[in-house]
Amino acid sequence: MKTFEVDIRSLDSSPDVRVIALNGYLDAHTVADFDRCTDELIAAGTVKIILDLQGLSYISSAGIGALMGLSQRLKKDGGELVLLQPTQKVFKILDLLGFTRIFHLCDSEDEAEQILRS
Amino acid sequence: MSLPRPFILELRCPVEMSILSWIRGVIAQTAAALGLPEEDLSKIEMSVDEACANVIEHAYPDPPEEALPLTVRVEAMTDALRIMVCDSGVGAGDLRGAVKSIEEYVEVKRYRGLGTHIMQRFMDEVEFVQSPGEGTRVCMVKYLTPPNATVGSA
Repeated sequence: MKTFEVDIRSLDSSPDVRVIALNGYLDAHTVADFDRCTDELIAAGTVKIILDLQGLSYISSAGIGALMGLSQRLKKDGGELVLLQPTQKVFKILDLLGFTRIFHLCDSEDEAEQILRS
Repeated sequence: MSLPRPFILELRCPVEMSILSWIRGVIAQTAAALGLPEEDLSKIEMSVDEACANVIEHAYPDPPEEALPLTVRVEAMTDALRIMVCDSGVGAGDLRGAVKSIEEYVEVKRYRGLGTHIMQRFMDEVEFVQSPGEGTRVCMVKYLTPPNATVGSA
């Protein structure tokens, strides 16, 4: 069973900012779906992404690698990736490995929007 | 209530990515039933997931002859949790492929080798045993009490 869903919308106040809400787990099984989704957004010109992690129950090294790759691609195009409200479990994994120092993490959409505007 | 120890649990699985979430669930439930703290539970779950994902991704470039070639063996001893992830394939990587640090991982921008780094970082002991024609065995140990802990005298 594959438990991974993606919901994409634009911010009302900044239509060029796309919010991707992830639900389920991002592991070696589901990472291809995530890559496909972000590939399509980037191909359509998106460079600013808020990744809403409130519904993400687990992330593996494959998922972290996908986030790193996405962040790198967006920066290359003058954009940015911001992670919004990771679940306690996902935050702990990122923190134990040192990725909370690498990624922008935010507690609210407003805060994420501020970072993407700066 | 904590599970009685020792006991051994062995899972025989197909090499399909869809099996990963089920393996994680079994490992997490077992570690929780042993009374391990939440943080150790996450570390063990992730380390096993990474070892299994390596096997599924790398050990069998061609479809395996065996129906269930991935084995996850959990030995819950009184002092430690020993977990072995075994395959009979062509090799599922080793410690040499691991990044040394997150800084190296970020700097090199290849975004490979993190799984093995995670196993080394999250478990107390990790060993890769590879034999030509016999596959790879990843042995991981998590001590239920710190390995260097000494019993204090009153």
